[in-house]
Parts: sequence; structure tokens; C-alpha cells
Amino acid sequence: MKGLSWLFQLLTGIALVFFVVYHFVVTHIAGSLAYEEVLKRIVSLKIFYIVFLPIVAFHAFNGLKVISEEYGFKWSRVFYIAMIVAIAYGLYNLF
Amino acid sequence: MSLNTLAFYLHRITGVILAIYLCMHLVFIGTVKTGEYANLIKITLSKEFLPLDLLLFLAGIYHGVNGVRLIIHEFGLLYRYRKALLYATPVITLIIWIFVCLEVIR
Repeated sequence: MKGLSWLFQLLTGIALVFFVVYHFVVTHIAGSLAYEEVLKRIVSLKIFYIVFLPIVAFHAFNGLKVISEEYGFKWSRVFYIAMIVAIAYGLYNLF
Repeated sequence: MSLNTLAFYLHRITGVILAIYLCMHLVFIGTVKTGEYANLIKITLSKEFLPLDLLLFLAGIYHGVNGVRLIIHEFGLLYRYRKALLYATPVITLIIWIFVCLEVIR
């Protein structure tokens, strides 16, 4: 993993420690997964999820891309397209 | 297999599991918009699903703790203690996991 891909994987990794912990606290400790609560949370934490979504999608799909490359596959485009689709689908659900 | 190699493969395996879960999670959350979520969440909050949830937390916590260890070394920090941190990673993971399990089951 080199260059920008490595740097962003590292930076998103650091950010995710905080984002995932906060997401866990609001969904499992401070709140619940009940339908009405999830609906409210999507509205009240919209900005949080708009930032969280691209960070987690990049980290996940870039990670998969790196693993596939190490096994000799040249599927970079597939993972970048999947990343964009995941972000777009997540944002569509937020609005 | 050395502990380093084991940590490397565990990081990979948990990463793949979490990436697959992310896709499933996005599709699942998409059902909030259609209203299907109210029925589906009853299934995933059932006792039968709980062990899967707890295993997912274990994968997430391990990936996070080991990731922090890797980032610390990437910055050239605590390299002298790399072996100690390698041993500490599963211990810290288990402590956090037990806390999380207790919070979720409670």
C-alpha cells in the first residue's frame, strides 16, 4: 500500500476509532435500535453520518482493494465503484 | 506461525468480515425508509442473533485495537515495545469486548 492510498487508510483508521465508538455509544448504550429512535437519530445526527459514511466506506473498500492487489488481482476500479455506490446509497437513505 | 503473522492475518480476516458487514448494514438501514426496518429489527434483536452480534463486536474491537497498534508503529512510536504491544493487543481486545458484551446484554 503506497502513497495517498496508504495515507488515507491510516487517517481514516484513526478517525474511525472515534466515529465507531461514538456510533456504538449512541446506538447501544445511550440509545436503542427501536424504529422510532433510529428515525430520530438519522435526523438529529445527519451531519455526523454524512461525514462518517465516506470515511468508513473508503477504509473498507480501500482495504479490500489492497488485499486483492496483494493476491495479484487488478480490481481497483471495481472497489472504487463499489465505494461510490455504497456512499451514494447511504446518502440516499439519509435524505 | 509467529504472533506477528497471526496478528497480520487476524487483521485481514476481521477487516473483510467488517467490510461485508458494512454492506449488509447499509442495506439493512435502507429499510428504515421503506418501513420494513420495524419488522426486521425484531429478528436481529432476538436471542438467536445475539451471539453473532457479540462476535461482530469482537471482530470490530480486535480490528480497532490492532489498527491503533499498527498506526503507533507507522508513526515510529513505541517500536521498542512492539513485542509487548503485540501481546497486549488480544488482552486489551478481550477487556473491551467483555465490557461491551455486558453493556449489550444488560
